Amino acid sequence: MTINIGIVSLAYCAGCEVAIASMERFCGLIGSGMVRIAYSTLLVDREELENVDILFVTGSIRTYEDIAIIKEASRKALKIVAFGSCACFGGIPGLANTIEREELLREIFSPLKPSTTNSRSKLTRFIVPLNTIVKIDYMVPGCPPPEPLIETLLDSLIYGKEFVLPKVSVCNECPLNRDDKKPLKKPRRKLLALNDIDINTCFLKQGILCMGPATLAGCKALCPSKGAPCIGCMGPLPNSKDQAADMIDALSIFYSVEPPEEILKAIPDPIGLLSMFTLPYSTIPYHRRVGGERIEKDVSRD
Amino acid sequence: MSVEPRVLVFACTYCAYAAAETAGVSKLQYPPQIYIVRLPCSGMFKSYYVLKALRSGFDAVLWSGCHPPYDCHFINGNYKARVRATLLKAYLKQLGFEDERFRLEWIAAGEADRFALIAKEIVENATRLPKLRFIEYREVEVK
Ligand code: SF4
Ligand code: SF4
Ligand code: SF4
Repeated sequence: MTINIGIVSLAYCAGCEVAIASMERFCGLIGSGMVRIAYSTLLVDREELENVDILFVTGSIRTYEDIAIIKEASRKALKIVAFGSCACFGGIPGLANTIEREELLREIFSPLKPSTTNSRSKLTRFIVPLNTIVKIDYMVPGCPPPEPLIETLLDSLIYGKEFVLPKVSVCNECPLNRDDKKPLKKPRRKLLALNDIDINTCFLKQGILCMGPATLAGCKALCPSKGAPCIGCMGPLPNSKDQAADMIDALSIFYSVEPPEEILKAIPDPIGLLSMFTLPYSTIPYHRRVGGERIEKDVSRD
Repeated sequence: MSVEPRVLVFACTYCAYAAAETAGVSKLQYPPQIYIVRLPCSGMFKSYYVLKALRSGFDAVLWSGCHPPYDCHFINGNYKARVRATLLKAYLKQLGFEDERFRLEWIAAGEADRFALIAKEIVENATRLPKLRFIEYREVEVK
């Protein structure tokens, strides 16, 4: 039996498709005829989405066209997979929820003048996670989803094994050394710029922001084990919606800084660093202006 | 007196809550718009509580705990609350919330008058702020 997979891409970066296409196991399955990609604007040459068994949705919902596409596509699929953090939580494009749509077009995209016809699809007021528009059966987070997770998804689709996301944080899978229990007095640096650190010791212990404690496991601590701190691409832990709030709680335990304002030097952009992938999914998913309020004095710009 | 605005107060049981109780016992007046939640220690005030409170219709949130350095009954809960509040304030500011929406204060068990004063202040400030309004996810489909 061949499983027909359709891949619908919304506001995406192609990383998710590449993650699937570059998997040896997946290519093997296609080679042996177990799986067929029935539709994907990026991977196969086909005009129309036919009826499929599984629909992978990648990218976030940015335009009204995206909403229409996904509603239409969901009628042709037996099961829907939100593939990648963009579809699950809004992803990096979701950070645009801090800027009003009109301002986004006027101040950020206006020099680009993409088209003179009026065929451009209208932007939605803000970015929403996929599960608020259609019912989804599987949620596969990650940017792009890590291989071990796609493996379990494939096992579940082909052999009917149950697909469950991990219930622990990235720190649980992280091999780095963190025996020292003392809280830190000094946060050091933001992210990256990693030439003077010990790559065998926990990043947070060295004063470098690592999102591990507030991020769902599943990637086998890909980044920390290769010498880079986690930026939180797997999204929040199962019983939470706010990765940023969890991380703020965790940071306050790791860092005992004096005066407390010091911590802002290490984290100058809390939204961008602490909810890089999950802003539209969190309790307060947008800037208040985007949520329709006129604010007399815009405090966020001081 | 109207019950708007509504202010959610998180109080640690040993200092701030005791102060609120003392204020009640000694018949000090403080506004009825204050809703108190009692928790064992300011170290367990979670950031999520503030986000949830604002989202669910409270106009302002107050965290109140024991004075640093030595009043905390769990050694350093108040220090944790302090770092947390600093970060949370910055986060809320980026989301467009006014500074008065969230505040951290130290109130010792005996400072009933201070509790009443802060309660009055925060309600007064909240009265001046506009009512929060959030659109729901489904409203994204309304053009
Ligand atoms: S989840 Fe990441 S890799 Fe996938 S489309 Fe979004 S940004 Fe690209
Ligand atoms: S904070 Fe980062 S480096 Fe430290 S244990 Fe967790 S994932 Fe590993
Ligand atoms: S370590 Fe963090 S950033 Fe890296 S893949 Fe895992 S969840 Fe994503």
